[in-house]
Amino acid sequence: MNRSIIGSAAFAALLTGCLYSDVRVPLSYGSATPGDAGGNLGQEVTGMGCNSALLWLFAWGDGGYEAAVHDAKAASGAAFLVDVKADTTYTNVVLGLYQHECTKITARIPAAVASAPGSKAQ
Amino acid sequence: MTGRLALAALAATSVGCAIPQGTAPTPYALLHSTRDPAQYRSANPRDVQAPPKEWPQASGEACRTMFWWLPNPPTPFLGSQTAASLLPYPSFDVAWGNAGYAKAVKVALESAGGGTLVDVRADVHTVSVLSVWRRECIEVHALVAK
Repeated sequence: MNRSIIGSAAFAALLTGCLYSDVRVPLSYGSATPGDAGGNLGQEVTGMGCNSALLWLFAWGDGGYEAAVHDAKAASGAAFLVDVKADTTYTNVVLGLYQHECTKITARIPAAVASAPGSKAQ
Repeated sequence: MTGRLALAALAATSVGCAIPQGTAPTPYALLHSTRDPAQYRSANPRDVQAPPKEWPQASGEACRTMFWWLPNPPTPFLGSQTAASLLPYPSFDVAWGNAGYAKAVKVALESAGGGTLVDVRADVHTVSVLSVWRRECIEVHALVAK
């Protein structure tokens, strides 16, 4: 009995964030479409938000849409993004000893913003 | 005799009732009273008749709280859901709260003083301690059209 409890506890310890987790994961994004920019698409921008986990015990980060979109918009100054593509990148080292998962947004900015003075789109 | 046969037939046809019927999110739910996000088709910028030059932003959240015993860790990473499904023990849970889109959107709109949410981003913010206590919040961020 004691052996099975210890075994179960050891197995649970193999799971991510057993002691403490504070993470954000993407749920949904009702993004704008090219029609919202009148079909005038500007430059492509990217943004990323990531979560990490270490030793199966701790997980932290902000890998949600808001962080990735904020990152992308910060580089462009756009109010919103159009033609949005969202991907997930995942790195796992030695059975999850270290995990890193990112939400990456690739999008276009409305052309009016792209040509606005002070725009830093790349 | 006929009555016994009828009783036996009734028992045979209702044998499935011996198995708990339900769609609880977890099979070992002791008490589960939550409202969870399902779908939200939010407005787009072109849905606004007079788009503002500067879009104000708003955010709101709605949360649910859970207690697990035995410990059941959150599964934020790819594959961790599979690992959690292999836990060799039952994990009973008590969960409550309104974590639906409707409440999160209402909170966001109240913070903005009304209007319509546009370009809505929604994330799930999970905080878990010792895999026993967990709080999950639906966070909504959006532009606001008055």
